[in-house]
Amino acid sequence: MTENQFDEFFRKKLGDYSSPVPEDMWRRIKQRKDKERRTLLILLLLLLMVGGTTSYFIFERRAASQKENTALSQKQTNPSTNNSTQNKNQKQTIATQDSTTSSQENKISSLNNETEKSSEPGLNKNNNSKTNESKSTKISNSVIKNNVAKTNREKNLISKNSTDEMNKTGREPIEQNLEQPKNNQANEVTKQNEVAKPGEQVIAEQNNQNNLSSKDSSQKKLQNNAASKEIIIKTHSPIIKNLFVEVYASPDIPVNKISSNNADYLRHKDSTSQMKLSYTFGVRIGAALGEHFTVKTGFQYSDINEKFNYLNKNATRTVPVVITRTLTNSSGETMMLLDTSNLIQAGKDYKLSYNHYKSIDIPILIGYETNGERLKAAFNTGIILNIKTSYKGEILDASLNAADINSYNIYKNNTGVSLYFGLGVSTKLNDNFRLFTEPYVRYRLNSMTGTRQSFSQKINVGGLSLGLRYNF
Amino acid sequence: MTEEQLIKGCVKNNVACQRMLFEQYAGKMMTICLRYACDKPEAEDMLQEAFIKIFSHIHQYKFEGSFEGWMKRIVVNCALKAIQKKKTRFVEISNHDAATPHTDSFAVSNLSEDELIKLISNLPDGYRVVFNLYVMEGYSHDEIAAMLNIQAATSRSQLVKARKLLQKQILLNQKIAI
Repeated sequence: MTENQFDEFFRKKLGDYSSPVPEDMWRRIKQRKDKERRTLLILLLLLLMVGGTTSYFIFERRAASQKENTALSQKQTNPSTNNSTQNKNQKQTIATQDSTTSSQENKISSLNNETEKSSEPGLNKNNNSKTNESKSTKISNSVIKNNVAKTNREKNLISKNSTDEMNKTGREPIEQNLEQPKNNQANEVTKQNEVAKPGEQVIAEQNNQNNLSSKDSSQKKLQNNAASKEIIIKTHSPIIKNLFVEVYASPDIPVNKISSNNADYLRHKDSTSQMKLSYTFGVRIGAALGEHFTVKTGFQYSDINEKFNYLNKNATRTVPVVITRTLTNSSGETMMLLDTSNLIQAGKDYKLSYNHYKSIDIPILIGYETNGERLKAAFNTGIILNIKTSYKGEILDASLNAADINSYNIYKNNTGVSLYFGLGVSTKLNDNFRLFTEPYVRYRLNSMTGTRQSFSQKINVGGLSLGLRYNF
Repeated sequence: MTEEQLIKGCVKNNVACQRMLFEQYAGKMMTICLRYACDKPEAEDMLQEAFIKIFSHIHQYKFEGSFEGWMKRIVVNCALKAIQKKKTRFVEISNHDAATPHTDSFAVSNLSEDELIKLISNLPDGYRVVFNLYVMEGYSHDEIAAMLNIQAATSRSQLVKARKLLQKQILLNQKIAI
């Protein structure tokens, strides 16, 4: 038989041959499909929740910033209501002052007219003018006094406005410009006291008016300046403002590293073990040290999954066989004979199980974060202290048989210290929350197996943390 | 129900159509899995994995070419993936001089399909994969080399060794039968 004939024979015989299929095969396929669909739904739900939460925080932040912007623009165009009422009062006082001064002006002008009228005839006129002058002087003095009193009242109003403004918005009181008009007013008043003549009175009155109007505009200027300079004072205590808490979860990819002096064992162990997707989740509390550095610690739970499939080609199975025989003797009596024997069947034994390496750890990390309000990069490194590790499943023992993972005390309950390296980014959701993602590597320093075991095993992990940070 | 209607029903995730499709083709696909696996449980795992993939990718079938051929390709890929996970090593064999045992057609023709499948499954992993891909699936050595990430020469030598082993086993069975 040539090679081609040999190959052709196999092709013809097996090409269209249908082998018997286990009866429960369809049920297994259906169960697996349903499980995958459920997993997909759960993942979609989780994604929706994360997306919804993130969108909510982003929109809330935008709405808050928009509100602040509109409030600011309103303040700039239209100062606060208290200020507006106070301004109204000031304007009213100024208006009344204006009206009084104008009425005083009228009086003075009428007096002046009388003086002019009476100035023409002789001494009487002079006397009259003198008396008129003294009268007018008295009037001017009283007018000036009134103005001074009203100016003082206005000063009080202005200073009151400025303190109110400061209390409301935390603005520094800007008193420098207030001083100037005060001084100017004082100078004007003293000047007026020194020289009291009708013409000068009018000028003085006009100067007063000018001062008042300039005061008004300067007051408005002050308010605008104060509105444009916003100084926000934080009220957090210095210790608590540096603290934050993080919650995170991570899908992990474990990498199994086994070493042994027994090459045969190593080959068999390698073929029976396959690492599967694992996970970690935890909570950390941290503190910011300065602008860039952070320290963090907390608790985390990890579950490393492993598929164990084992084939024993020399497996035997003992089956008891009972043979019942009925014998009839010559006298017609029947006897029942039971013949019991053990049938030993040789064959292959196939095992499939999923192992779990569950650990509770304390991470102690230091980190460096870049500057940035919205987006920050971070590098974190440190150690992860194992508190307790528990195991579930089956492994290959030294005699190449499947054994319970907890038998023979193969693995340690405490696997010691691991090193952690992570490089991530975070984005600001609002003033308190940040969303972060951090790919990381966890490297074990010690073996997970006892010192007297025939092999040494370390499971290193690479993962992608996704978490939320809350700043106090 | 025609095959097209059956496939369209499976695309719509109709469980009844999926079950009908499974029952129609499961036997042939099981034969393929038994050829690639070293035992029945492994073959069952391969078959389960293959049908999951067939149902999830059935919407990609464009009704061009044979549907059975499309399914077979998926089953073979699943089988190869399962074997590669076992980290099968393909060793270059330099000794091609050993004489091939002579088998007569009578000895071979007496073997049943199940016996032939058992003979193939008893081959070492590397020989079995190359024999199946070359003889049963019709791939060339270059194509096999690309699929398995080996040299074409390695593929040829694995096939030679596989044939020798099969023929040796057939002769041995013939002697036992006699």
